Amino acid sequence: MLLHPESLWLLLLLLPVGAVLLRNYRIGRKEFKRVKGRGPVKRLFDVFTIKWFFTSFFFLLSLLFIILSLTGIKDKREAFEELPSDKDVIFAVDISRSMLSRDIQPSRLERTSVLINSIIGRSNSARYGLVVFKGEGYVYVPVTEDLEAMKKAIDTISPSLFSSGSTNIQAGLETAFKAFPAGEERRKIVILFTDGETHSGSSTAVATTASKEQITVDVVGVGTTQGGEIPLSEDRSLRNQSGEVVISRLNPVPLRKLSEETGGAYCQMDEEGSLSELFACLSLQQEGENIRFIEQERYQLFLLVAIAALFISFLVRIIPWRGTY
Amino acid sequence: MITFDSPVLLILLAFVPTLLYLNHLWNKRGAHISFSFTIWQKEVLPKARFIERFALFFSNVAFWCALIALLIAAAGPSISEKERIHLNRGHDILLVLDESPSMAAQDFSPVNRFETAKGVLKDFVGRRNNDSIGIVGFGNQAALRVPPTRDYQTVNDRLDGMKLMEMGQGTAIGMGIAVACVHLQHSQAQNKIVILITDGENNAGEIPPLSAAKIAAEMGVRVYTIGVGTRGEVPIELEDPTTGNIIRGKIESQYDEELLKEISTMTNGKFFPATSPGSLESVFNDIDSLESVQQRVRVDIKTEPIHREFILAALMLLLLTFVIRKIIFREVL
Repeated sequence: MLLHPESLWLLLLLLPVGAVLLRNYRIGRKEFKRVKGRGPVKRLFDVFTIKWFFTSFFFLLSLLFIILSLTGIKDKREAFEELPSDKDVIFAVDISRSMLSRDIQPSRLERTSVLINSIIGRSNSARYGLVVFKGEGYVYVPVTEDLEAMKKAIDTISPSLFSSGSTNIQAGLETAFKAFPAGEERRKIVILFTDGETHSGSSTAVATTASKEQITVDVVGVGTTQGGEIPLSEDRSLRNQSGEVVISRLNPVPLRKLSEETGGAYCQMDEEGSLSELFACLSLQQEGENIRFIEQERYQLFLLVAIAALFISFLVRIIPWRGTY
Repeated sequence: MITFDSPVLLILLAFVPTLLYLNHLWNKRGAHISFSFTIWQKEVLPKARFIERFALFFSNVAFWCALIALLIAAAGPSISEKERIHLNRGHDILLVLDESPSMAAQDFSPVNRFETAKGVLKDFVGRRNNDSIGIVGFGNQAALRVPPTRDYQTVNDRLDGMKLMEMGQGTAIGMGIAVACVHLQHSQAQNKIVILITDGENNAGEIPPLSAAKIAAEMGVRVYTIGVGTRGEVPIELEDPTTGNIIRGKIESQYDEELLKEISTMTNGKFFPATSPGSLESVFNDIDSLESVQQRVRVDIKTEPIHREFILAALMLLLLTFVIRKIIFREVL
């Protein structure tokens, strides 16, 4: 697993660096040819070749390992943690147009509201917050004990709350992460409601932040894999450019991956599952102890190899070669 | 503060002076291959120009910095921050702010009463670090702007977004207090506080202020009342949010001091008059000290690794050295 896979592009740097080193060897060889004479010069040239080879090789090796250390190779370690009994729960709700689809009745978004309302009603030892997102996220209700405010807000969520393009789960989750008040010992849980038709954003970055901030992300996939039309008005549905009706389908694969990466649960909200089944699925219920995966970046070994290589490349250059002349 | 995961590795830094000596001062160093001038058939080497000497010196500095940065990065540096974890529950505070047009009166510099109040409230929010704070705005009606929360960022954002006259021209003090009480009803905080800021007489709303005060008193909510404004005629200027028209004029400024006093005494609060921005600030300082409790705090250390920055810097410097020496100077070895 790489934390910064984009750093691998830096490996391309090795090519021009290698080319320059090779060119410089040629220049050096030419210079030696210009120096006339045999015997000692020939031997000197051998020394030059050997030194050039090792110093260049180890320099390239050092660059290679520096770049490898930048990629952030990580591994996971298990750690037990005591869960604080007080919870802060933030609902991150996708309010893109596809959430209006009626493949589950009455609609994906309304079903979401019902579930949120029932969660709020069932456990009142927690504080709740509400983040809505499309292309960007917005803190609709900050984390609060005030259930009245939550209930009122839940009834008003709709795609027309704000206009912004596409669906960016990453933006929604990051807004939610920032909405947790600092400086308290409470368990942080985000419950994400989406149909998974993500159009931008990356889930790996989100998972890293979540694990660092000790936030559990439960993902609720809303909708069916058969999908449904996206209604624009009572009798009109969204069509694409060629005039065909657009079908929005639940895409569970990336959602399941996201929940696994953040150590949360994945639950599916479709026609069959009952509310209590869904409720049981969420990690909200869990008390006591939990196993959390702590990600550790492995870079020190790579760096040490890089430094050693740099030392060697350096020493080969400066250590005099005895006995050649 | 910077801490290291494996400080032991910092010992490697001790090699740097040795290497510096070997590379730059040691007589027998072999970075060059020395040979006699007799076999050198070209002209005597010209003395290097200043710019060349400077570039060479610069490349050396860059190289050593790169090496040091790599060594530091290998020791696993991270920035650690102390985080205060509050162990006891703070207050729940609802700020009830008058949004009626008279709050646009310009007797509070630099802009008007409303903007001054917003500024003072923000400072107040900044000073309370363990309390849940919410905002209710009122005009003809009252509405919750932010539920009580410790997410101060959101509180400040919403405070910024508040505008005058969004709920008509009236002053429904009773409604303001009542709405605040509704949103405090689930609160488990020991101390529930409402801070009412108004500059007018109650003239709207279905709930009279004293009934609202009675509800508050029954719920154990303390109401601090603040009457803002100077007495007499003051100029006002504001934009009507529905039409966008600018309204200018003069108003006779008058708040109902008796009513505000009575509300505060009924609920164990206190009444404060504020005739200037400075006195409004001192009112909040007073409330601050009245409502301070002993806090139990635990300090946690949060660390943020910063090795990546060091490695990136080292890589840049190494490449810089490489460019200067191998590409510009065409150093063959």
